[in-house]
Amino acid sequence: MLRYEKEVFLVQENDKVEDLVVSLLGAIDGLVDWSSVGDNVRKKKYSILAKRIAVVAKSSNNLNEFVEKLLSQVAGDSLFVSRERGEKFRKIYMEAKKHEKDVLEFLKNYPYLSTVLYAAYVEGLGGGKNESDIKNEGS
Amino acid sequence: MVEIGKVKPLDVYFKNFERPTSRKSRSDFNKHSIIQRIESSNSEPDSALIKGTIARTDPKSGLPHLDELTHHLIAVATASLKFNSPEVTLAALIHDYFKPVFDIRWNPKKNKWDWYHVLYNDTQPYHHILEEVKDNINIPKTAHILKYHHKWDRDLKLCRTGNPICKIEHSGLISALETNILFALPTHADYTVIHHLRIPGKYRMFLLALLKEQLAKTLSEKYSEKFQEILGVSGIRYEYRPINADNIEEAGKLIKEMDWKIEIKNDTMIIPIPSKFHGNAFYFEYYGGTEVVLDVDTKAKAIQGVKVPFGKALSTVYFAGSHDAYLLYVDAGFDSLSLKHLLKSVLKDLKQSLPEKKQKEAFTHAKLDKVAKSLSGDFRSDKSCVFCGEPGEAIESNEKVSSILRAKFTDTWLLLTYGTSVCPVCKLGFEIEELFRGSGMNKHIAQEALLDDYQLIHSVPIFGKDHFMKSVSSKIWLELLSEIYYSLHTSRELGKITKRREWAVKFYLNPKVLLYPYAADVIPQVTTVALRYSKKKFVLQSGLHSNIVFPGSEKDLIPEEFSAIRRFYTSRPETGMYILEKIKNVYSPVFGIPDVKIRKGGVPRARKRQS
Repeated sequence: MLRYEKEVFLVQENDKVEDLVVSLLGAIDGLVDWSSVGDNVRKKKYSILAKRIAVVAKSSNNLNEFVEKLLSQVAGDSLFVSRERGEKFRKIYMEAKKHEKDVLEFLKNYPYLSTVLYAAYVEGLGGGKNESDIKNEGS
Repeated sequence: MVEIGKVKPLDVYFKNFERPTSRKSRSDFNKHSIIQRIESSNSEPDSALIKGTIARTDPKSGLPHLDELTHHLIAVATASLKFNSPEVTLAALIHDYFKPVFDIRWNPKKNKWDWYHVLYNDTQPYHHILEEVKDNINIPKTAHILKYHHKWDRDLKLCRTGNPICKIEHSGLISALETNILFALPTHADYTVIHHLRIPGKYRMFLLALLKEQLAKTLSEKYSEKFQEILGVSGIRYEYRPINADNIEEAGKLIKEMDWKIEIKNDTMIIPIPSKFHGNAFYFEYYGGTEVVLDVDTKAKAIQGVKVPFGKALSTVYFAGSHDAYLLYVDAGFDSLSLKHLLKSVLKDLKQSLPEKKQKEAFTHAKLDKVAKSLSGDFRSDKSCVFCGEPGEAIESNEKVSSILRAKFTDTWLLLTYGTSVCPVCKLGFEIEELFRGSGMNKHIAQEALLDDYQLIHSVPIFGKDHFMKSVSSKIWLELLSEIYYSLHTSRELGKITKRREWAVKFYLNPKVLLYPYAADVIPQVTTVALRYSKKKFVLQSGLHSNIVFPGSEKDLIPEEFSAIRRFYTSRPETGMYILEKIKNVYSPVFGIPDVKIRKGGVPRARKRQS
């Protein structure tokens, strides 16, 4: 007799963890100055982001480490930070921090998926309007 | 410093964040058991890939079998072809005719619910629906076989009346069987034919994928021919039609009133089936073709039918560990298809797809007897193959595989360890790979789709448990579900998604199956064998990955990720097109995802100037 074990699907237990991940990636992405990045890199923005998240999340022990490493990998020292933006980032970060284990686990297990959900959400809202060149970026 | 288009979206995140779902309410939701959700849910999903009916329940445990009724009927009918009797096959085709009426009655003698689906006293409705074929078929005999297909003697474990349908239904093909464990592999007595194959190594898996594909193709033709021989039709089409009846007697009367009859059109037998729960008609057509074809109603934004090749509906492959596989198909009474015959057909098809220049030289040195022996593990030798470790033989200078002896072959170091013998199967696999080196080949084997989050959308007394039983037939049906999903992107209507066709996204990201009275989420799966790598060793360089939803050049998308995507999409349907587009961009899937055209840039310049 076969029983379908719903426990297989980890994310079912972590309801809405995707929302936190999407918000956190949005907040991090918002700090990156993409205008200072070359066209070639910008065209493959999401592919690059996915690979960076995969590497960084695996080697991070906490959320703080993850954010720091990802920002330095993606943006280097060229960040876009205003007082308002910083405050908003802090709010999101603090919220994600409350569910740090779940968020970090999700990022570690599904870095590509996290990027897909974030990118889809951002472009679904019209945020991708200025990123029409970020198309067919798959390698 | 200019920021690129992030102000608006980020603001929206923050707004959303100010009113997050409370942890309490979230945990309350999780507390609801699956069954509670089943009871509270009563709506039909509109993203159903197929709309069918659950086939049967286990006589002992009462648990439902994970199989669709028309698939069950076609499996039994195909096995019944062995009896060479049109009456038997016709009776098998409609033996559970009234099941979708869901006439469930309490049996005080047995102290359990019974699912009534055969008219014993008044057989007129059977005579009525069979009227069109009465000139060629003995209708009373057909009705008699149909009526007594349940006379099973539990003590003797025999069909009391010698009823052929009863025999087939109690064989390993239909009755409950743990299918992923091979301690009880069905035998010839179970109306199945089995070929054992040794499959260690990539070339052997590659050959298995080619053979499986060829088997389905050949079987489609053979079954179609056999149906033609016995019943005079080459295809069978079941049409579920809505009917407002509470019991089978009432349904029988209505069928006569509405004049429903089995018809024969375009060489296809059309069987109307009365269904209590179908809101609209839905059909399954089993035919002699090679591809699953979806019939999409773009106005209704729904799939209204599916054409399924016989071969795909009635054959499968079992894996026993990583070294053995069993090709299995329903025995319809024709001579067993030998591995050599299948290999010959594979090579013939491959040869035809090559450019003329290459055709002359292709497979001239292939010794199919040896290949078949080696595949089934009967080839004997002291040497072992450099690629798979199975018994091998020396490499001859005129064989394609001799190129591995040259220094430029990247895995030459392997030869230092194992010597220079190669088995006949790997020799053939190597030659195919070399011949198609320029174009590459995508080969995969469909796996059983996962069914998750069952919902009981109609209240029926005998159903309600969250457990199912599986048979060989169930395994094939679940694989068929995966095949149906992967036919979405090849469909004319659903293969390209634009803003106007945005509704099609639901089939890709939230595929469901209606198996009345259940509805369930589908997660398709494949095992990838070869992925297209232009001008490279596309077999040797491809990984053998199983349980994959979308095989990706960048990364494979796995069922857990698909499940998360589904949840994200259902909570924000407006992101659907973008999710598909981003999957394509980030994962670079080899197949399974449609073309997505999202027009960007907002208002045209001319209109901007006017305003």
